[in-house]
Amino acid sequence: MLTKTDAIVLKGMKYRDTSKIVTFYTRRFGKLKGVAKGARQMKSKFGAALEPMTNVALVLYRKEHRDLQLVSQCDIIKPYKKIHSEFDRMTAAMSVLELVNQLTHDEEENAALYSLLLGTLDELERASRRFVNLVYAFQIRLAGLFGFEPSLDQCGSCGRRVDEFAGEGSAVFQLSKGAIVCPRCAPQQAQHAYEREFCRAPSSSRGRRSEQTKSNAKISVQTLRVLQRLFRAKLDSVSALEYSKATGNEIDATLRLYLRQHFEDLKPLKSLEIHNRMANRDSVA
Amino acid sequence: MIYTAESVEQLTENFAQLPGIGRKTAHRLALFVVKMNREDVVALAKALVSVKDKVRYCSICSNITESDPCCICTNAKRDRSVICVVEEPTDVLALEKTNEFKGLYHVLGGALSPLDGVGPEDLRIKELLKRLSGAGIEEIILALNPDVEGEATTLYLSKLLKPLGMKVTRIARGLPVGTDLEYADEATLSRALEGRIAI
Repeated sequence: MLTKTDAIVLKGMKYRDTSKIVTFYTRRFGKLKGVAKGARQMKSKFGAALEPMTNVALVLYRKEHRDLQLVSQCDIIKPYKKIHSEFDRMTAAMSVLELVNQLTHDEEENAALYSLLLGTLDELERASRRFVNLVYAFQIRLAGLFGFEPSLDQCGSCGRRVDEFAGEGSAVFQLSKGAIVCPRCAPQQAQHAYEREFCRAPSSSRGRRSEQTKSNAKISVQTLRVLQRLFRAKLDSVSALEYSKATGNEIDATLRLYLRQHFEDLKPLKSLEIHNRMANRDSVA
Repeated sequence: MIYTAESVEQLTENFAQLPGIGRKTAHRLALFVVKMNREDVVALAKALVSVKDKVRYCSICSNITESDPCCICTNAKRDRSVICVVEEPTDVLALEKTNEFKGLYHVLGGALSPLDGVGPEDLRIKELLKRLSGAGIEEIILALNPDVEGEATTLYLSKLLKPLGMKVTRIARGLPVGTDLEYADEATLSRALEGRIAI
């Protein structure tokens, strides 16, 4: 059936001599793959519409239970010119696309994720600096959309707010629960975990203690505050967030551990690695 | 169940490994080989083995060649102050057909594609930088495909090469010859406008 939907092009691969298989994230059907016949020919009707990081109006012959749909027409809605012409913006946008491509399955509709992806690309096109903030904001919001919303405002044990334990040192981020534990409760929590593992649990499960320890990450109050804003603030204000390099490294590591905890199959994001490597190189130069 | 001779089935399997060849086409090709003269079949087999035995990558530009260094790198008439960076050996062929470029080449062996797991370490970028450390290079022309992967590689290389102090240029992007302006998409047209030249 001929169907229309808005979409964002995630990736494309060469198919036969002149065609392309393109992966889209669509508003109506989630992720889907389509064949665009003749797309690589010089006079192709698709032009630049099938390039990744483009927002398009897609028309396709869609059949249910078919892995590969047939693309009939594809017109550009937003070409994201700046994203396509500046390396830092491009690698930031690619890491967002890479994450969506890795974590979504074919034809699972998620309109909220589509809006988040579109909004993030819009902001990456508009922002003038700190593009990586938008990547981190996207990561943490995406975790929320998949049901792993972290609770970053108060201690998960005693309920004290972050401001109340700001002067007491580092807190602990429980990756599996997505909760923080204040510096005062952290030793008690560790003791409870120890007792659960070694005093009550059967001996066969004791070997898992090291994994339990790995599922907690130390986190500074400064990093917590930035994470809160990355999660709650409007997307258009995220790129203005300033923080130290050490905090940036901590955010990067914490989010990587958090996503890996909840999405076991997640591979390291190559685009983000390249983005950070070049950003570090520029800051040294 | 095998309906034809076992050797035909084996040849079909071998043809089907080639890019763009499905099982049906592979079977058709295998049956064509059955009908060919013995001399032609032997010549084809010899050509296949010869390609595998003789062809290698040039140690300077990474283009495919039978003699190392390749005939372009050893040609004294070529302009040694200009290097054109391309993705694949097929791009060298395409550029050579124009008869316009008289400099040297460097084949990267692909383009940056983080979405497919291809990073800078998977391309022959280190070899390019090593080549540039020798004296006499004045201009680098980046002639990569006008797609996102080519664009990412162009931007990445320009970041690496500009600090070296040589002229870094890229080939023009825009409308292909023989097309109609009205059917061009926004992205292509805006690039064509950006790359306009005085006449």
